[in-house]
Amino acid sequence: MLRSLKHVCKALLFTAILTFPVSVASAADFPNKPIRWVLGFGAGGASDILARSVARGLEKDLGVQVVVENRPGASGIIAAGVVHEAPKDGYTILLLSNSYFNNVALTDKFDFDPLNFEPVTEVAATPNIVVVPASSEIMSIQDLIDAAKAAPGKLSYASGGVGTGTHFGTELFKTMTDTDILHIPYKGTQPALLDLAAGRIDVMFAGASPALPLITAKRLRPIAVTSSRPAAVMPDLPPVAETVPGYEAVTWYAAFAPKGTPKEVVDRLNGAFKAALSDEQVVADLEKQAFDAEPTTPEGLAELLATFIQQTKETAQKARITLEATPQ
Amino acid sequence: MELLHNLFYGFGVILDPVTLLYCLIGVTLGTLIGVLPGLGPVATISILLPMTYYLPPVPALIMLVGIYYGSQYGGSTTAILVNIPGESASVITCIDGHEMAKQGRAGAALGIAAFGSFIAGTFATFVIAIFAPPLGEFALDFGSPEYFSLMLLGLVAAVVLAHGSLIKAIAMVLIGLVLGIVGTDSNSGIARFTFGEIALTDGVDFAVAALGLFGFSEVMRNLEKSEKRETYSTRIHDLLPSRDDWKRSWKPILRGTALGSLFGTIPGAGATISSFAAYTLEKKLSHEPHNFGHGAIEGVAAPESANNAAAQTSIIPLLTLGIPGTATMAVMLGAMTIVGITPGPMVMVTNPDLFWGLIVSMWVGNLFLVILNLPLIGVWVKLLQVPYRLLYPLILLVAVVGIYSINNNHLDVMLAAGFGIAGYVLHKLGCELPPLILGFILGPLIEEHLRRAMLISRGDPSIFFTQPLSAAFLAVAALLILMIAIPNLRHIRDEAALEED
Repeated sequence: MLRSLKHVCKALLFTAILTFPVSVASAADFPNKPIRWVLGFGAGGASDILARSVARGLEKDLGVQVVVENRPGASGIIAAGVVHEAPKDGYTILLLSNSYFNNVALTDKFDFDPLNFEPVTEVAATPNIVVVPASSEIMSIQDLIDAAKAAPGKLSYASGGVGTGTHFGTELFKTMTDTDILHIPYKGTQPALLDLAAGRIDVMFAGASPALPLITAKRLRPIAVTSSRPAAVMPDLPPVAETVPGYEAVTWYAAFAPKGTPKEVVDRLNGAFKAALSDEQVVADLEKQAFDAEPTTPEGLAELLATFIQQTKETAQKARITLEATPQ
Repeated sequence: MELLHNLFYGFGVILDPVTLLYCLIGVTLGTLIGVLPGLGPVATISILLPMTYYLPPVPALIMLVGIYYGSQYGGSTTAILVNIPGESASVITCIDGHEMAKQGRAGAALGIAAFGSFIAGTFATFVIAIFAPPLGEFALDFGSPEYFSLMLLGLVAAVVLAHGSLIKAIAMVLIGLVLGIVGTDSNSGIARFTFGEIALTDGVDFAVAALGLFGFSEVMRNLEKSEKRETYSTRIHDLLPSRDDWKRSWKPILRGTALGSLFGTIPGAGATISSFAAYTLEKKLSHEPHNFGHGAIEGVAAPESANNAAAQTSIIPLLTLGIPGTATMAVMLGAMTIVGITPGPMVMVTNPDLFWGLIVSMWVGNLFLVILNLPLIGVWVKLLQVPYRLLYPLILLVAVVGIYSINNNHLDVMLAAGFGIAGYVLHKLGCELPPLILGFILGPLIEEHLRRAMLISRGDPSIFFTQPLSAAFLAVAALLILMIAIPNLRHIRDEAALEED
């Protein structure tokens, strides 16, 4: 027993010696060439704008170019697959949103280990806003609960697609309030908002950024935010949690590096993100898209992930959501 | 009077030299990416999006919009010259445009496309200036039942598009529908026909299918013949549309423009469908429908006018509701928020310089496009005289780069190659591709809206008949089916009568 432990120690020491100079060399002068930041989102959307603003902040701090690369599709799985295969040197990093982790919690459509990444930091979060058509009689979350209880299954809610935050956020609300509201999925938030504004749907827990124009135009009425505290984007709006204690469902974005990236490099990146996310210009850019900068430590992000995946699994189980074909 | 005042105000904005320059850059860039197959306006606008951080907002947005309608302009060039749709909305232009080029009339086809687009652009500018708010309301009227019925009508029309065998046309539509099913089912989140390939979970990209089926297969077909393309090059006569061309085209241009202006405002319908619709309409109204598919100039004039008008009016939902109707407009929304403008009806009040500047810039941009494109026609036609053995590697290279740039995914290039082979085989079998492409575009939309309409109505199908707009579309579709069926029935009856004799 002791002998084998000794062997292990020796082996460990040996590998440490072997790899030590390499990692120190790469970590000490990190970064000395452009960094590639792979996004799971198409160019031009709010998530893309978020990354490009933050990338400019990162460039200021790191002194090298940060090249944003869009690999849209499959809730970020394609982008994650690219970074999964990348060298573990910190020159390739990844941005994912909670939609990716909904898939992690609910499917096995991955041909790699979906959590096999080094968490770097959470980047930003944006609340969803509970909106109803301007003509609706629902004025508050309590009204919504009452209306849903009075006629189970008669109200309908829109989501930007099965497995997205707009879907899970509402299902969480339904399980916590024990209400029955019919789910109508759309391909993206925009067409859903259009049907909502026309009064064909009763309610949506929609992203703040896409909902704002219709709220400003008085086509939609906001009744609550899904963050636990009032949000900067609409400070007068009460959180859902005021009526449904403990409710929180925001959209968040986090940065990752390939598994096995040296700790020093991850920490350097984490520091750069912290600096970028406190840069005035970046913060202002983010605010325009209703994002709040939310840097964390790598450990903080790991914790957040564990809690999030656990909660998603529970909600999915209670709401009987599956993303896999099941025999009927 | 107020309209005139507003338009003058808009001219004041656009006539600033810097703004004018950005407008010119936008439309030039748009023409370029339109000509290059695969490279689309969405990608280009996205790439240029970070520039909006450094530019004043109004010129920046004017440039980005210019790229979009400029690309619709340029897309027809590739379609006419080499039978490759440079832009999704030009798929339909290939049919008669390329036939015209083969007959040595590339110049006339390019000319009528340019003039048609200009007329459409001018008209659409006024439509936006005068009718933007009510048309925005029209977009709101379009719920799932309306979409479903409209798309169904489109599908029926797709069969009308074909000029050969009816059975083959129906088969092509069905193949298109099946291809459209690939991807994630939006109601359950379950992946269909992806064969475990993650890149396919979002379905097959339209540009990949179109470039493969049309572009690659066209190259293969040309390689069959050993350098025999005199058909194009030796008999190029007129570089501009003749008086007779104009006589045949002016009505199709006007009808196409009207159709395009209306379709453009419906979110998700857009330029591509409006070009299909305009073509079908012309074929139905024509006294010589058999000319369609064999170089009928109406078949170029109508869809080109329609797609350009639609490209412009597609900004209406964004300006009046804050809802982007197309992928390009979604990127425009991003650009507006970057510069701190919340799109929606308030733009007219809070940023009149942007609102009216943008509208007038569209007209000015269209003028630039005509000035830019007319001299280019001669150059383009000369391009046809380049030996094909030199031209085709270039076409393939540009197409492959374009396809790769859509998702930065090599699988797309391989898929396009597969579509190329399929397109070649289908062509050999005498099957026409436009019905397939239309089935491919409409299939997923029909399914999505049928299922959503049924969800909203809690399973009651009468929703399709009780909504007036939806019922009207269904009635027209039924009428079209009758129009196709009766001649066929008569044909069968005549044959039966002949046999009896």
